[in-house]
Amino acid sequence: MSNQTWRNAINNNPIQQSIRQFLAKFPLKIHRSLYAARELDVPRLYTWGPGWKSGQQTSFDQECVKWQTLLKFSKSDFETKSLNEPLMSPSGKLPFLVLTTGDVLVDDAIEKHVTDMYSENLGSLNNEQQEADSAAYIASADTKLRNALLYNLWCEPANESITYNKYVGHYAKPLDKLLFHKYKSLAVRELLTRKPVLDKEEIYQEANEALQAISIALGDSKYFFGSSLPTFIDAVVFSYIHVILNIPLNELVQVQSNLVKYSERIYNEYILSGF
Amino acid sequence: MDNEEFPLRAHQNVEAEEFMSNNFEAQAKKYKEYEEAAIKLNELVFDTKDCPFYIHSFQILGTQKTRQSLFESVVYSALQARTLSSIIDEVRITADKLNRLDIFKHVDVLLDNSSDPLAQPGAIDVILSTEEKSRFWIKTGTEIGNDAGSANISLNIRNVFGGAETLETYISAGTQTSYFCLAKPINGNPDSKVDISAYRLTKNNQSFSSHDEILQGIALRWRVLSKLGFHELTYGTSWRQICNIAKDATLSIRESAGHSLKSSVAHTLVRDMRDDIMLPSRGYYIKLFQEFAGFNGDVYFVKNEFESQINFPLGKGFIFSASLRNGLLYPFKTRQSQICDRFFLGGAQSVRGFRLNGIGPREEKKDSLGGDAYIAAGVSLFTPLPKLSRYPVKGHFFVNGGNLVRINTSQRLAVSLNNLAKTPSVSAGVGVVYRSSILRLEVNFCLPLIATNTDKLKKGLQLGLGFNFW
Repeated sequence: MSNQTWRNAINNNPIQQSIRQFLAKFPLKIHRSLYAARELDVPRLYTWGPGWKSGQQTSFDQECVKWQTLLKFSKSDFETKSLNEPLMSPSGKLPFLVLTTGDVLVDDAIEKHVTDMYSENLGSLNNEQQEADSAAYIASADTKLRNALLYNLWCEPANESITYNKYVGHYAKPLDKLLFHKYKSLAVRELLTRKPVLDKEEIYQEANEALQAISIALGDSKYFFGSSLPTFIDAVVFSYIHVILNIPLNELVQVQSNLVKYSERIYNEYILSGF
Repeated sequence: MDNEEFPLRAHQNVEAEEFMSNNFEAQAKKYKEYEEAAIKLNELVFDTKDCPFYIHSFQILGTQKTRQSLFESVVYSALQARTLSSIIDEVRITADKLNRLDIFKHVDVLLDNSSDPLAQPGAIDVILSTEEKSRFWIKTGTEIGNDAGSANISLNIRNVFGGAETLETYISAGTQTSYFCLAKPINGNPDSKVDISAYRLTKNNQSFSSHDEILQGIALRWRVLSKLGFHELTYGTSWRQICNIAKDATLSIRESAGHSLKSSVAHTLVRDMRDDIMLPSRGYYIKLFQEFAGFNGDVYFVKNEFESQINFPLGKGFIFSASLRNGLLYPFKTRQSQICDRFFLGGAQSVRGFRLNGIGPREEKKDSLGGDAYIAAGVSLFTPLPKLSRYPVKGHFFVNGGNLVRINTSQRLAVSLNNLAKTPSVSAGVGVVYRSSILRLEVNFCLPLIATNTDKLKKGLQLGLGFNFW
């Protein structure tokens, strides 16, 4: 207490006060800055882009397509910007979502943001069984389909040029080669965490099995588990099918016709037409 | 004592005076003898200065690693001398050059009549006795920063290939900085050196613009002293990474993350006529810098920078100092310049009364974005302090200001440059300056007079520590 009163006495000291009043007068003149602060009108998703085919509004990268699709499903207002630079992202990977408040979201935080704010536009799973099945299919896609995708893009010498053009073609020589090597080694390292030996036949065979299982699970319904509105698993499956159909991998694995139709329908309904 | 000179050597003079008075008589006698001998020698040299002489042999003793070709290029001009006075001058210059190559502990000169029975009249033998300096040294050290410790090691090799080349290497574990430089004097001239260097360094710009910059590159450089001053011509390529964007960085900083490759040629000219670099009392300083980037890589710009400072002693220990600086970065082929090439302005060592890089384009009062053109000027008055005139401490009054703007390449350049005059930031203040043997310390009470609403002000006390003050 005595400390407090002592401090008060100093702060209320007339000399101290007049010094403070004197300092408050400075600067004597303040200009307005010539440069307006940049603010986003709508949230912005930074992705790899543009797509594999010209005019395609989806990214060429599966992770980007996944979050782009989920945001489209939620009918939230957002824009996409493709600067193709993973160093911009807090996680070192694209995509990331910048909100109008300035917050930067990646991965699960995007899913949380979408499910918190726009749950009315997304379907929901009815019971624990469906939730468990959904998690299992997502896990199968994220391992078996992703292995095939990574292997096809980064480890098949025939595809090196298309992968190079998309991921590092915009860099100056010789940074393009250095970064290609770096991204490739990241992809290989990720593959090796799941597969001790990279056997091409085995990887594509497992992808085929996964596609088969997913195709059966979808059946003839509009979305997974008969939901009338899409859920997270639809974004995941769509992202894989969509990218696989656009790269040479589609000649090596068999995408069932119901999955092809499903992918086209989602693309037309959500990606092309907007809302 | 002369008040206008900084009294750095005050106590040394006192010592010398005491010494003189104690040994005055003995000294006086010795001096007289020396003086007579010197006069005699001078007369002798003067009488014979135009007589034809030539250097018959040039002998250099005490060399082990140094190659003969280095000596050949250094002594070449002495061998052309044909009179005694020019021989003496040239040999002195030769010895001075060898000294400044920094490979010998000492170089002693001996001139003698040639002892060769076949020599013609007027033949002189020159003997330079030298001792080479040690060639290797290794230094290790540790640094402690704000959040992490680090260890470093530097290895230097002198006279690497026997031609007075130097090799410097430095590796620091914590900051991931490494440096390698091999330098060679051209024709044995210590004032003209070429070097090739490779480096990797990390700059932490988190405090003022929320990112780190990693630079890796190689450069070829020629440094030479001319009548105009010290020149440096560099051709270099560097890979820059803007990374580790802070979580709360502004969007423009986030969008400037990435890789770029700059390949440029640059020229620097420094003419420094000041009596001291840290707290000069007289003389001027001019620095001109030009850079052209765009040979290969993806960075295209022309950059110009001009720095100047002038100092006048006003008598009675008062010193007036004025400085003017400006810079212009003009990007081409690209829409805008990159953050790692831009200028930053403000801080205790540039425009006082503002925080480090606190002036210029900024978003949300947080991250400095840097600018493409700046102008800054300041005047300082240094005053003697009562009872402290023996110490390198001065009172300091200043007014300084400047502005930093962007250049919009879609507009005419004049439009962008006009903005420099529109929103200047100016401050004034008073304080003390102390010049220690290794750096200059300033404590100023600063009052910003004119500012922009996005400037970061430093009202009140500001501490400045360094050796290069504007």
